[in-house]
Amino acid sequence: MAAPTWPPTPQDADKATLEEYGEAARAVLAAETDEEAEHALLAAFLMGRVKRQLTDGVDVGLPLEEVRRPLAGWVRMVSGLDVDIAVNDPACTDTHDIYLPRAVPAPETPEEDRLLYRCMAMVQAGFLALGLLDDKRFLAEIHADWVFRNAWHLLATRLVVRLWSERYPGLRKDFAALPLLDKAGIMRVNLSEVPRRGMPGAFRPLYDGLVRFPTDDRLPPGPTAEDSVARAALVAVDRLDLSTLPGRKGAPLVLSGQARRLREEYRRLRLGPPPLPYVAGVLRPEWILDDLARDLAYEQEWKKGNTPLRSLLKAMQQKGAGGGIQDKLKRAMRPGRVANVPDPADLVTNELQARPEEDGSRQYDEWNAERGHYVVAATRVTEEPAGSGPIESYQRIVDANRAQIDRIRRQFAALRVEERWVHGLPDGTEIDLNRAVSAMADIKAGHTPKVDWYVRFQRQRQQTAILTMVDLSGSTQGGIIYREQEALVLFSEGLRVLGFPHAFYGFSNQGPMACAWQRIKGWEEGYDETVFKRIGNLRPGGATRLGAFIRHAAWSLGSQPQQRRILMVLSDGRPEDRGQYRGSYGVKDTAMAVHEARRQDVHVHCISMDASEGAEEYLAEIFGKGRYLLLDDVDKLPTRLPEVFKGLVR
Amino acid sequence: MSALPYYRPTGNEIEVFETAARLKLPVLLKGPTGCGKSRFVRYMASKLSRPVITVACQEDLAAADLTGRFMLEGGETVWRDGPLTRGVREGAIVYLDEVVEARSDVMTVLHPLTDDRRVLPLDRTGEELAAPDSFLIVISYNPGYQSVTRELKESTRQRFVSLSFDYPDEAVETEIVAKESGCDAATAARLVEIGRATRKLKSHGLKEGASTRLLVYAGQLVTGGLPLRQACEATLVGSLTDDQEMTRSLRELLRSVLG
Repeated sequence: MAAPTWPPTPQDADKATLEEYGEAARAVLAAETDEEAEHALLAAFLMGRVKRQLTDGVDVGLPLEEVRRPLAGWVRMVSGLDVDIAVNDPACTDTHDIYLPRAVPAPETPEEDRLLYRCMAMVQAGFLALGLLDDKRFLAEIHADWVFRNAWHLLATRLVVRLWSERYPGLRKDFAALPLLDKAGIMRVNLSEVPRRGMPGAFRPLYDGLVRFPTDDRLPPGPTAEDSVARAALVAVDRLDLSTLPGRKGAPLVLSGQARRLREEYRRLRLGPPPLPYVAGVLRPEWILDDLARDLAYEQEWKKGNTPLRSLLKAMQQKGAGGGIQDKLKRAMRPGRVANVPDPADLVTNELQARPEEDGSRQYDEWNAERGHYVVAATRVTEEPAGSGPIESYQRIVDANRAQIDRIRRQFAALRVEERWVHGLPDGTEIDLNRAVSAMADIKAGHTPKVDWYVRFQRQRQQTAILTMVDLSGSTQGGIIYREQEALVLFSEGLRVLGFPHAFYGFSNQGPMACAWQRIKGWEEGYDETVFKRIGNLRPGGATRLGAFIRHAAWSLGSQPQQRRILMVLSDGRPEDRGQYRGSYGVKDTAMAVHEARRQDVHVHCISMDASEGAEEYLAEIFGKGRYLLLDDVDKLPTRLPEVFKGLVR
Repeated sequence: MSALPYYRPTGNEIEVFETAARLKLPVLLKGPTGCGKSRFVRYMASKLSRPVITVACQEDLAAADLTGRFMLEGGETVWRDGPLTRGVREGAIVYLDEVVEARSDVMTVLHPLTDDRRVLPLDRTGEELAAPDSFLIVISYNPGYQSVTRELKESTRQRFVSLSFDYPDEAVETEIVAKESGCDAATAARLVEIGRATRKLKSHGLKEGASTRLLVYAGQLVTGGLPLRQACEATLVGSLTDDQEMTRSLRELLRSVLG
């Protein structure tokens, strides 16, 4: 019996396989060295006909959106990890979130598709729960070697399946059902789909229990010499005792050791990377490492470039491949972002102060967390009226939301408590003398008195000053800014009923010294045509230097006499501006601005419409847990803003 | 004297409370709902052999509800002590549960009782009651509620010796659930596992995860003959949320843990 080859040779592959991998298969067989064979394989997988997403078409299985929220809650509960679910195909993790495909492949079988989502999510959660992706050196290593990466991934997946199966009986059933689910076993290397038929015996034990292979008469049953290394690796991994801490701590070591052995074996056999089943997803070491860009050791590694791609480029050049592919590879090899180092001239210690300028603008210090100092007068905020336009824009919003407006008016009216004595109560704080005398008279006369002689003093709800600041940066263009306008219309209707002093401002900037604080409704302004026109005609543009605006808002609220002050921040993304005001710098400055505002007794609460990955994390850092709301749907903003406010003052 | 109510200490709270009581210092208990604050007060009152008067505060609770008021009885106007006044006269422990829910004048009436004066002025009767040594005021609140109007003022907070409570660790909570509900240890462990998992959803769809009290209820239902899954469904799903998606998450959790 002829030994199977990988990729399949023309003799044992079906037509589709031959078309896709025929050339690569011949190149592997013709290669003079193991390295050349590996390059040829990588070329086939990376540059071949990529089925980037298995669910690009209309014929898909259950969409993630239908299960995302309950799935995210379930993953948090069973894994104990504070992660969210975001979209990417194949499934992966950046250690903060778990990414799952937008939909699983067709056909739609809801129960099975849910099972598949659960298993995909828990595979990624298992990597995190066991701390398998914590070591940066290890991540750099798997980033550089695709064969090692995939071998490790399969061994780690097996370990993770065992972890959850041992812990939860329900998950044991889920994972046991996987081999029966055909789409769980769709095989990919990177983004290229590869056939299961003709899979080399040396790979096959790695999929043990995860997927079921189609009948393959060419493979003899039971252990073979060919798969002995893979079987030995599995035995070593299965020996790990996950119920004890030493077993868990040893897991990364054992996995790496066994994956290295496999890597050497596969090079010897000229097999390249073992493909990954759909349910296992992929590893994205570059996503995790990119987050740690400030780490100098990593910077050194990263600057060397992307090793497998570099090797591939070399191979392509030797093969005389087209310039387009080479350019693509060169672009992919660019080093990652390098941490910005602030100008030493900025490093001045100073107290935070708002400095009024002659033109009415104010300058604010900015917090440089990396250096631990304020940068003096780093920003200038200038108040100006927001853009205006036809009144019809406002009217259209009102017309479209009549029912909502009525509802919010009623709800806010219920929030307002009149300052008055309530008479005729069977229980209260004081006796109503008139009724008491009347009752006494009844008693003396031998009648049963009405027990309604108490009064209670109802005080008006404490006045609260509310400033709502609305993100008008360029990214709000389109649907978001319209929802912001709707939210302002609804919220303003409620606040007018409530009678609390309030103001609405928009914010966006063109660099640190041009922060525009756009007055939509000032503190002293009433609701007239001017204000309506501004609300109905907000215009996006510019960046989000959020720290400066929060400092200015806190200053503005400080000018109000009310003891209780609330700042509502509506934003659609992370703090970001030109220069170094991006990433961690912007987040930490804004967090400091919020801290400063709270020191001035301003309650800061944020509603974010940021759909990007990591939003939860930076929002928690800036505003603190429980002091922000991350909307999963921008359309919900108009109704959620008044609801959040009610929750704050109830 | 009746037997001590069951209470499983999780730290040095008994020692701190006893010392505070001996020194006549008012005590503030902070912690999430159903973590054992009220039980602790009952336990300590019993341990110190003092009566305890519990007042569940709500937004209509005014100072007069605590101090007392004139009532008409048989044609006469008669002063009736409120629970606070009664507590001062009897030298009891007065426990104001969820005190931030009460009206702000409640805190004002507490002030002279929480400093070295330890007196309760009654404007209506012209009395000024001096609190006996055994009188102790204990308040509790849940700092997890994020409401501008439901935060304890700094000036008030600093009048109290503070004890922070949280849900106990897994082993202790299992012991508590088993003891309180009468269910076996394995069932208690399962319930605690589920309960602790639900707390991961706090601020991710649930305002609160399952409290120890709720886990005890579930255990009691099991002891009462209900299958574990049904007991969990009735307590750890239905009582935690009305949201359909969260309900689905919780049901999936039950399926994962219980098989």
